[in-house]
Amino acid sequence: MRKKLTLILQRVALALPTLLGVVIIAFALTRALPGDPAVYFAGIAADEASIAQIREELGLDKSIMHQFLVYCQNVAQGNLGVSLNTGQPVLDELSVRVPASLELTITGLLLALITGVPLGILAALKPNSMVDHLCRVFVTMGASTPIFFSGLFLVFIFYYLLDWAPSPIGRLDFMFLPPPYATGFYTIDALLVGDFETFSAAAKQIVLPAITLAIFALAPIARMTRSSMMTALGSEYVKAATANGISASKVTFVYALRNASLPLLTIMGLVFSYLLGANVLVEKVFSWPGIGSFAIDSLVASDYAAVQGFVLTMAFMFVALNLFIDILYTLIDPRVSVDG
Amino acid sequence: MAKFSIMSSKRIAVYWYILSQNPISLFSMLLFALFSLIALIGPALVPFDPIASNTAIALQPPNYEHWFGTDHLGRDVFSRVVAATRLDFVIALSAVIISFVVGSALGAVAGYYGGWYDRIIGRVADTILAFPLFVLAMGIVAALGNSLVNVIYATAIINIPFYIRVARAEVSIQRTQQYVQAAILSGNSSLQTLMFHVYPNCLPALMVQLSLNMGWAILNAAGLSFIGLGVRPPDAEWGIMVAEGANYIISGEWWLVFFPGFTLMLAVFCFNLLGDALRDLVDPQKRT
Repeated sequence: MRKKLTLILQRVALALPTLLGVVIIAFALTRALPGDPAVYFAGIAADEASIAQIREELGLDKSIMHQFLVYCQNVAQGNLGVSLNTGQPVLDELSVRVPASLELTITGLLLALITGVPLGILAALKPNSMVDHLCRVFVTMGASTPIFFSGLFLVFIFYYLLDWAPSPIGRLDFMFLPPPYATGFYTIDALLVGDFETFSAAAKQIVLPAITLAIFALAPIARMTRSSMMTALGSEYVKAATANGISASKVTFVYALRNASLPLLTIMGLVFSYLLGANVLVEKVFSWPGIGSFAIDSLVASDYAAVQGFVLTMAFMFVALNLFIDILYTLIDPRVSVDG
Repeated sequence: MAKFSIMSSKRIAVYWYILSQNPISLFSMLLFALFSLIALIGPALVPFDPIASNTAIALQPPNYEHWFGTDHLGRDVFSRVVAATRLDFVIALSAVIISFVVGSALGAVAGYYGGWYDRIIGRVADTILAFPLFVLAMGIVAALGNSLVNVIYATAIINIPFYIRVARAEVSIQRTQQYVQAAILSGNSSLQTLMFHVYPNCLPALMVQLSLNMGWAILNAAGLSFIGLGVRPPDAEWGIMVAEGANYIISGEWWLVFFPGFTLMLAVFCFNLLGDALRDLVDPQKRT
């Protein structure tokens, strides 16, 4: 146990250089603008005084190293600048919208896991069966379909043709008020206060965007589950367990699945990378008021501080996620060591 | 020279045999040929001007005259989808070529020289991959300015790490081969050995990566233009066409989204299959 703790601490320490690299790239992006960054960050309508103030804030009259240190200090204090669109600090704008994005991403990921993993297992248990072919079709389609196309396609079928889903106008119909803030997830908050009407309204809104994300994430999850289950099922210890008369279901779900879950966990980082990017497009399609929509609005309005704040926030979330996955891996796999 | 051409014609025969064994590979080759042809001569063949608007015939569903219908400005969707092929291919191809050249050179240096080169280049690749890639592309376009060229650069940058990894791994394997020692002993400098002896032997693996990458590059570029980056209206491009049609999907004008979106999907699908087919040629062990 003590050894695992050391390993976990080592993982955390290994994430620090990555974090530094992320901050350096983010800093480079803020300075990549041609011309005077202060003019860009102050916006189109800025006067001399506000440009001068921003120039001083960014330390633009100092050396590049000094500017970088000022930038690090600002980031560490959560100071990501002020959004020109809204006049509010970027951090506030983002933190209001993060729960909306998280609720969507997590719901989509859970949907993908509870469909993708069984699909992969079934495909691995019966290679070249109907399920296996179905799995292959899904994987190939999922890898080739632009996510904004599948999202709009679902809207057309389930909103326009069948009228099962509500119109794609965000997290809640105009008739409802958001539930009192607890977690920021509308579905959970509504349940917490026992408001089932609001819950079902919020759930109806999230179904289509979450399915869109799930279709996208399903492909790598099902493919990886299938291949790692195939490897696990073909291995010596599974043969030995079967030969010893252990029931097929126990061999499959306890022996094989546990070992197959490790490769699955390693690709979750990549899945998340795609998912966080896909989230931006899905939010645009469904007018979902998350940080992706905010970033798109800011991009269109040339609101640079807001966009850079968004990129940095996403990168931090992603680094944290990868660290979490690494730690989980260390906890699950008894053989894992930092060197090997 | 004669000997070389005999060898390569034999080799082509072998390749053709492998491909014809797998109908899906053959299909993907034909689809790719079709797309390339459309990209080359399509804009000259289209029945209507892809950017000329005529609001009198706006939002017509597909019919005999306008096969894919017309959009909100009365432009022929079929002509626009065909004309967009060239732009989408040019964006994706330029991005992929940039990441191929830069990434494989960096990866080859890292794999061949090792040491600090390897550490620094590896660290750069890891740092790029520490971002959600589409989000990083958005940030790069925002930082460099919203233009088509910068969309190409952004798409290229987020793909560089994959080429670095493939090239590095391949070079590390090739480096220990005997022909490398023979090349060094015959008086080649280390850079010459890397460039003219090791690197060419890594090309097959890199080509597979390139083909697999094309599909993802098209998707990425179309995603960026879907959110309003790069391509400017009235230019025809699949992503921006879907974005323009998105407002009409809730009132049932499906053809505005369907035809460009489906063509985009088909193109990505084609490149993914083509990547698998190329892998079959290059790596017999993974052949199915």
